Amino acid sequence: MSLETAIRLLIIGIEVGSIYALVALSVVVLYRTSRVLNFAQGEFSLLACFLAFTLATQMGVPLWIAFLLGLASSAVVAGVFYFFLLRRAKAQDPMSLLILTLGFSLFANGALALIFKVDNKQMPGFVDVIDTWTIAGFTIAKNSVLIAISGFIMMLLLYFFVQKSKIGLAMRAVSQNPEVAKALGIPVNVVLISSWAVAAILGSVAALLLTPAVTLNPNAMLDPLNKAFAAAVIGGMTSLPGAVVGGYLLGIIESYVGNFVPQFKLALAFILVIVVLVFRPHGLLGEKETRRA
Amino acid sequence: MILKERYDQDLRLVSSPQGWAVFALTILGLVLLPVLFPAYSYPLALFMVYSLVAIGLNIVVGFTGQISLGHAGFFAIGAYIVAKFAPLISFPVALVLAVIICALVGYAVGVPALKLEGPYLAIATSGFGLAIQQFFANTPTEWFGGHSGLIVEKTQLFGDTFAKDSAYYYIVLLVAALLVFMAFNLARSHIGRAFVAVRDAELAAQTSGVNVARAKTLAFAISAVYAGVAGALFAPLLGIVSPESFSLLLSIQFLSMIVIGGIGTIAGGILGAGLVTVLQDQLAQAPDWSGLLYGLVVLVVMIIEPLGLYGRWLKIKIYWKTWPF
Repeated sequence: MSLETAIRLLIIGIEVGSIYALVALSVVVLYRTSRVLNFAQGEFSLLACFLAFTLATQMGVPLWIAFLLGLASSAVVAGVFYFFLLRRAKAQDPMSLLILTLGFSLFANGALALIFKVDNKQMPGFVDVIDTWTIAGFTIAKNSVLIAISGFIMMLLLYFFVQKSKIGLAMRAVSQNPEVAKALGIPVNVVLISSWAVAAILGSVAALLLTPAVTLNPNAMLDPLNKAFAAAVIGGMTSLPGAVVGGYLLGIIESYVGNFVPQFKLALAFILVIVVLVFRPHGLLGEKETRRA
Repeated sequence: MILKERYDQDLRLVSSPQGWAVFALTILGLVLLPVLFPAYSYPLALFMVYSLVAIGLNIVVGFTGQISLGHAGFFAIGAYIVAKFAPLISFPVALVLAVIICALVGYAVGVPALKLEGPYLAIATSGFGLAIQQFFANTPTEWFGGHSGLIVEKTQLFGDTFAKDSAYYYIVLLVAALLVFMAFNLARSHIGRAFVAVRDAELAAQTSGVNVARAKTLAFAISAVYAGVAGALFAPLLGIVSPESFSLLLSIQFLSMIVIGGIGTIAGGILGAGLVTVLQDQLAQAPDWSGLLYGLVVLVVMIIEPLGLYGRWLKIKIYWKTWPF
């Protein structure tokens, strides 16, 4: 493998890795605060994409406004889903909640397919997908740079939100112990709704960055979400830095391995998951959840 | 639950005259229906195949409390073994082979699953299902037909007499009846009780002498056998096995069966399988609506009645038996 190929694969790895990391972050943000593994994340993101697509291509709304409206709608739907459905379910153990999100995912995907149809759509992006820069002999797609930089900015924003804002502090409190947080006067429901909204926005940003490079259809988020779950598990379901590490790690390894044995690219993520889990059952950076039996 | 006064009441599978009537009617119906309505033999056989998967999944999810999103993988292994090896070594031998291999694979999945719980287990098992799908799709075409899959010729397997749907139906019925009986027996044996104890209170089960690790791996192995046998019966029924039919979506569909029917009861699994078969049959004309409706049914059940249809039925039954109290 020449140096040039090595660097090219690394860039692809970072690009894909930032998508995985963003979706993985959305999974982890939610899991930390509400102990729910959200299988409907893909549908929240798709809603943002479909809405942005319709607004931008059929109603002539400027692209960035369409993207913002898409993000807002997905955040609202996620909040509504938590407040009106998930919170009211009779069974509140993690497995029942997981099944509930699976059910919602099937339902929402069916609804999106009926409303927006199943054909492949060409999502508009901020840069042309085939545009490239040539720096010192290397050709880099503008889109890769855009994805990598936007991903990084989103991670920084999330860091400041969780570490510096009041609601972020409350989120961390709820993730440590919901009962005590409630007793100390933290409005747990508001915190949970906002973490659902934040998670939906993170996932939707990833989808809005990704879909211009691929095509938009109701199955577009299936593979990224699967990979993001893998990345979240590799990093540790309770650790935000873990999700970022897991996402980039998976993206880069997948890029190199995919170059040599493309047919096992899909299974690779889960081979990595198994290998990591055998040695560290709670992920690379995750902590063991202690509980009373 | 109605109070049982003596141990031998607990030992009986069918305890009341009404129970015997239901039992006799079910057997009679299942034997006679395909003769009277040949068109129903395919959906009925499909229903029995799904019931077996649902029972198997219920053993690991409902009884032992370990989630699995990878049962499409076991189902695929059973289907592929029959598709590939039944023409060489005959169908019954291939069925036995499927049982052995699925038990081993189930055990192999169960061992790493011991360390995992909750979301980690859900994702690891869904990864297993995906890995199996990828394995069958990407191994050389001479092995398992690659992406296009394998054709299963019923005439070649069973000769002309059993090749018809209505005749093959009885093979499915025989195997399914045997396995359902075994499942009911398992549920009330010390093994089944150990599974439930592990689900309800792992530590308490351990202190009472249950080998938790053995119970969990055994649950996975038994569950895998049920799914594998179902897959093995499914392959000749459909006539073709291809990797794309054994996706994560199929695993989710299996899970939705036990959720709809009732988690943790064998009858619930069968009921859920029946409802899903009916839904699938009715939705064949409008496939666009299937995901939406499945999702809706799962949502409604999870929000209103987490114990599923069978749980609701038990509540109604107890209400009538204890009326007016």
